[in-house]
Amino acid sequence: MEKSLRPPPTADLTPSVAESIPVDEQVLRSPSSLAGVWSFRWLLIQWSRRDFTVQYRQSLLGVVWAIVQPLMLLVLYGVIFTAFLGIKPDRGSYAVFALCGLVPWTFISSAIGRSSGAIAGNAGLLRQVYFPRAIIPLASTGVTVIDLAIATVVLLIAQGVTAGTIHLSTLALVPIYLGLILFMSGVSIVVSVIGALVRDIRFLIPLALQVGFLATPIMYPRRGTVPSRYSWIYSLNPVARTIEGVRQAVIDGTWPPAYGLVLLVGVGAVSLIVGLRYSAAVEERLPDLL
Amino acid sequence: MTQVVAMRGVTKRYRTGRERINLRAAIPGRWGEPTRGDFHWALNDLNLELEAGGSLGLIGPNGAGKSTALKLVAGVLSPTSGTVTIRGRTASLIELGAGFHSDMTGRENVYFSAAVLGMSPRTLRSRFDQIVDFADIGEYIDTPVKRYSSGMMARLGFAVASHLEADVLVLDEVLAVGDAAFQRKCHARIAESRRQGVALLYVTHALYTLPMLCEEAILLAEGTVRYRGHPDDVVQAYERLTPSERVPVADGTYKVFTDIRTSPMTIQAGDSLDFDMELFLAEGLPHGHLMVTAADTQMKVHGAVSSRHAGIQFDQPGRHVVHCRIDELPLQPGSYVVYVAFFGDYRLPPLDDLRIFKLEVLGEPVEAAYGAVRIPASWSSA
Repeated sequence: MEKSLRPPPTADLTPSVAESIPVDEQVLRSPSSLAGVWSFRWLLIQWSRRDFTVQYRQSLLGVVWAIVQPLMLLVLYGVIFTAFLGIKPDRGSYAVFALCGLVPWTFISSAIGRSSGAIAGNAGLLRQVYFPRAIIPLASTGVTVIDLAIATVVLLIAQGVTAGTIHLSTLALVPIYLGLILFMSGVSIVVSVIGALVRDIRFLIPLALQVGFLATPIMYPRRGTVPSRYSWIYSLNPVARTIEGVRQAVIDGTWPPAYGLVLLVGVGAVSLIVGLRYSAAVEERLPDLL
Repeated sequence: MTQVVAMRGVTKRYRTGRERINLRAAIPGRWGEPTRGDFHWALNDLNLELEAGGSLGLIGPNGAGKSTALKLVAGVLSPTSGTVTIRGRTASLIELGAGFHSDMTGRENVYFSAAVLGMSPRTLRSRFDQIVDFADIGEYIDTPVKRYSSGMMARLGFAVASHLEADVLVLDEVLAVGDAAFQRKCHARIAESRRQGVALLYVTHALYTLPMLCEEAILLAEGTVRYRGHPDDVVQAYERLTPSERVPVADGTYKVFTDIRTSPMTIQAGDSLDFDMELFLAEGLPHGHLMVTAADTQMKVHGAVSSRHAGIQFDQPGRHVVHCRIDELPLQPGSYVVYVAFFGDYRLPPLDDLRIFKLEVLGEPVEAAYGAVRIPASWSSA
């Protein structure tokens, strides 16, 4: 018996047959790839929308929870960090300062958290219908993008109320978010595929996120809090740099350096492509292993 | 002819035995392929072709690899070796209601399910009303599907999947759900797709549906093709395959026919039909009777005759020789299906032991030819 070597399922039998039916079978049958995901973009939108609305079904407050959750965190950590630990923000009011960190961080942590179990949780569907498997973690990220948009509105209202002005440089959030969303899309795909194959990931991730939350200057400023001999570690933390960019844009009213934004979007695009390539390479094993 | 499905030397293996976490599975390429462990070969050098607009039925005992073959065609699984070539779009009805979420309404689920099955939003918008009509859901379309009966769920699921634009329809036993009326509707819908040139790949255990839906059939056993040919012949080959296991089988069905011969099944309208049947009743079988039923190719029954009405019942074990004659079969010209069945009086119909015959009635229709039954009449006017 031949051992596990096979041509791709779309291999042509004879060229003449291929010419006779002009269908886009390549796109229909392609594994996770930009083209494959694009051809299923409607599914991606439907899936994100469904997962977003379904979580608030049969709840009294509904979508309000999307605002209440980050605000509760803000109050809780705010009291601990300012009143108990005596931390002072290095710019702006503490609420806006902390929200600038909390909003992107919540996006990062819930994108990873949601996608880690997403493919495993849809094992049944995987065995029934064909679609690029990366759609599943991308939809999980899509849900958190909606949360991110809502939380950002709260952030901007807080900035408007406490500082009395919203700077023009706030527009820098567009490339920052673009880079962040692209980056997390790629990470989500990898985390979701590995999470389906090796379930340990799902216990490891909350731990890692806890460490990340405390090790990143989200609720406290780096300046004046972190001893200078550890400062270099923070320079290497890409999330810390992203949050710094958000604070510059929203609170300081200065544009983050252009090369930083280009780098962020570039790294994000690379991440998404790596994620899709990875999924394409292993996803056909998923139905057999789940 | 163009082949829409071609499987060449396809094998598929599954790992069996205790589940072990295989960290290597996360590694792309050959490194991640499992090497050790026990394997079960679900498919073993399977070759099959389906031509555009054609229809192919797959039957076989449990574990023969029927569902695996369908899932390979649907693109859900990948072969271990060999090639699976699909030309065109497949619509797979492997399970009804793919992706339904119980908290979402019927409408929302139609949208999601359509998207998951690859229907474009434009197509869905133009067919949404048709889908809801077909499912016969009415005002409940905006009710969460967790409040639906299982029949409503099945209807909605079938409605979505059967309205896909497809070149190949892949059906796995889904027609077994729902009541008789719904099954007829499904058969009619499939027949309509077939008329529009959609090819059909069909897996079933309900052998009597095979000649109605398929022009050709394959008997699968142990992952490979055992027999290929006309559905009637394949059904018979299947019955020969494992006779000992099937008298009686666990679900309360019995095999009783040892032989059935009929007069020619292409007749002129108004001709007679003859059936010579031989049965063998095992010890302990319940009372039963024989029934000959005429139905159209969409399962709609037009009439039946029962041995019970002639006072013939079977309550003694052993061999019985039975003759049934239908004088002047009152059917209009057309294609029909005749099935002969033994019905145990206190049991479920032993569908496993239906014998199916295709009947062609030739000639000129009598009267206005509405309906399937010939009603001889004489008119006079004063």
